[in-house]
Amino acid sequence: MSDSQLTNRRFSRRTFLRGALMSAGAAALAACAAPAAPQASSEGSEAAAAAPAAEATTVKFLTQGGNDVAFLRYEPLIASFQEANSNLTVEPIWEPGGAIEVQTKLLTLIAAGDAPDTYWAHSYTNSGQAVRELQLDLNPYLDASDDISGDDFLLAAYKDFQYSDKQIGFPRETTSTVLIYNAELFDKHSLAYPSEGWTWADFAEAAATITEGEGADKIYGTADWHLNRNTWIKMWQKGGDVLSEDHTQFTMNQEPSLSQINEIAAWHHAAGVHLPATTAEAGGFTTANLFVTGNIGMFPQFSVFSGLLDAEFKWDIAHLPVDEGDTATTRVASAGHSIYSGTNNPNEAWQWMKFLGGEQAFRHWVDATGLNVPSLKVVAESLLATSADSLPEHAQVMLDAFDYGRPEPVAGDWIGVHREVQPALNSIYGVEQADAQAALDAIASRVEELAVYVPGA
Amino acid sequence: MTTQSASVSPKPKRGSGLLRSEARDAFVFILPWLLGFLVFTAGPMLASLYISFTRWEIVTSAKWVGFEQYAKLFSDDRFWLALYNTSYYVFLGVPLHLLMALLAALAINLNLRGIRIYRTLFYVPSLTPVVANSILWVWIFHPQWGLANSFLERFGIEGLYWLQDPRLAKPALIIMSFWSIGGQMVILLAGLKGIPAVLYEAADIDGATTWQRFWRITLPLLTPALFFNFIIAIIGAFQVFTQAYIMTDGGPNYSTLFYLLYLYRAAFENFRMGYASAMAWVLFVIVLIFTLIQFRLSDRWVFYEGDLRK
Repeated sequence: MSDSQLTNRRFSRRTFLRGALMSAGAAALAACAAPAAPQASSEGSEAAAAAPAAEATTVKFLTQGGNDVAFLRYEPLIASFQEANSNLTVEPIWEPGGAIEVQTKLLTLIAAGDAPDTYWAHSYTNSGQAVRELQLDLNPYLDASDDISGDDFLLAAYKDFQYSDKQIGFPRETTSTVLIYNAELFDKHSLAYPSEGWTWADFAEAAATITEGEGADKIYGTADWHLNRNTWIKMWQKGGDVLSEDHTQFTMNQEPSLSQINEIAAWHHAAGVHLPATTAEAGGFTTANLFVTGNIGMFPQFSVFSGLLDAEFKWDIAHLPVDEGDTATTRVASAGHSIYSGTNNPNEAWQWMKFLGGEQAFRHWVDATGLNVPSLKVVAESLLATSADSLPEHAQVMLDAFDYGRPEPVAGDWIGVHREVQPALNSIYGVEQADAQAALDAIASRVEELAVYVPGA
Repeated sequence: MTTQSASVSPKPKRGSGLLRSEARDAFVFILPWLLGFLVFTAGPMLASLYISFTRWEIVTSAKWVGFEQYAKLFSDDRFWLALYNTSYYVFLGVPLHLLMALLAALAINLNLRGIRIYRTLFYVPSLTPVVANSILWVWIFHPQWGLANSFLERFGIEGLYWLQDPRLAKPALIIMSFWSIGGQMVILLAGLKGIPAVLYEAADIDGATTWQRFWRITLPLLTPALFFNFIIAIIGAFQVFTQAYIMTDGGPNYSTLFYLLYLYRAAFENFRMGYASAMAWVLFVIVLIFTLIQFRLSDRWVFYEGDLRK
């Protein structure tokens, strides 16, 4: 082909730009085609699930990743599952980070039309997803199954994966908030260790006694009550809550919640027995770091103790104080697994979910990663024997706490509620020393809007 | 005359085969970039424009709502707060950032022994990922154990809550931004190197002081580089996100809730893609307006080589 033939072809700038614009338009239209809402899959049944598939089906599984512990948690289980189910392949999608990051990845995958069938979930993000019907209701599958039942799980953890009347997943591990204390500091001041029957007055007195010193070496009686999740426990004990029973009204700005918040503010400011919220929020050091260096007498923490194992002094855990006539309660939060409601493979996804909810998986997690409380009763009950070396002396406390603990009152856009409440509490407990009533009144309408939020309405 | 005319190539006529051939080749060469731009930038941009007129939560069907998201946006206090925080960071932070970059460029333009080492040292922090920088500065700003307060204690200033006090959090992030002046510094240094030495020699002969040399020669001839840096820095500062996401999580009391952080939360925590897309387009318009204003104002203070002062 000669040059003249080539140049005779009409390939003007106009032609090129026209083609380019058409491509852009096509790309935009393709991108604009927002995926339709997920349709709830037809109710599953064991029989359907058990029917042999014509060819191998891939179950995509989005979960936390990016480190050896995460890989160790699931890779051996995936191998075992595939060995037992030759017609199923589990394809893990690893996402480093916590609940928000995994949710971000989940949303991105759904938007891209490449949604996972199953995914790791957390009680923190569960309600925002549930209100949008993101999780498949497992109740029909549970009803049809002889292999697995809700009774197999610790009740409070199981409830963490319920929304309205739906079972939106299974918990994998769970935590109850307990009081961690430095026994050496209690001995030093001849204080009795926290025990059943301890009241908040006892707690405040012990915190005041333990508090001593100045500057960077100061020892604080307590810490971490500035976190909304811990403030809430104190409110719950007195009958208060974040929201009204019907989840439409913000009630932290009313009694009995308000007086509890003011009491915690007094620990920070007037009494000076609380690690300043500003220090705790400053980053760099966690409260566990400061506890390990002997700078904190006692603090509430969910029952994951990995950050405390370096402590070179005796420490233990106890139930949180309760005043006479109040409700003994604490916070329970869980991580687990859910099935995406838009999955094309609900029965296969259920097989994988059922496997993750079984004893083999839980035993593996305890052996491989230890410490966290497995939410399967039979494994949780044997935890004290299998992990005795790495647990505090009274580890039974954290298990007993599941009997009276409760999850957060999740509603609507629960993350949004967290986002509103924590800054308000920080302003009350922190440098600003804001008036509790005013600070909480200021967020009331916004919290209520978030709590009753109905997607698409 | 004959020789001269033979040595000059005749200008190809419009529509000639040669021109078309060159144009075709040029288009073919830029095609990969152009396709990438269309598919990965222009397409999603147009898509986000469409989404901004819908109520779409990824897992719900998109519903056309016209300008509802924009109306909501302008009646949302938190949106205005985020815009204020971002504007504060942009309009206080960018000039200071450029001033620091200019001072650094002037310093490393001196003929000092080992100046290359200093240039490297000043530039290296800008190579560090912003995430690593953020974690480092969390430690530096720690109220009890941080380097910043330890240093200030020597001058009798104690107990500053850099990232915990709403009054200090934004200034703290601006101070932190000085850590990464390296990029602008190098561009300004190149600008300084490009100023003809003959101008300084003439100024010396005329008896100009150091300040007059800087004010009458250096600064005017550096204005193209300053202008470029200013535009880029303004656009970048409007998109500040990572520091607030990692260091302050938007706090304390929303004082570092920057525009993009609020947009991110709207999209990926609250699922409100329509709202987040509307935010993105409002930001686009704001940045576009400021950029156009800068270009318009540049006639008054930017001097290019060969320009004559009016």
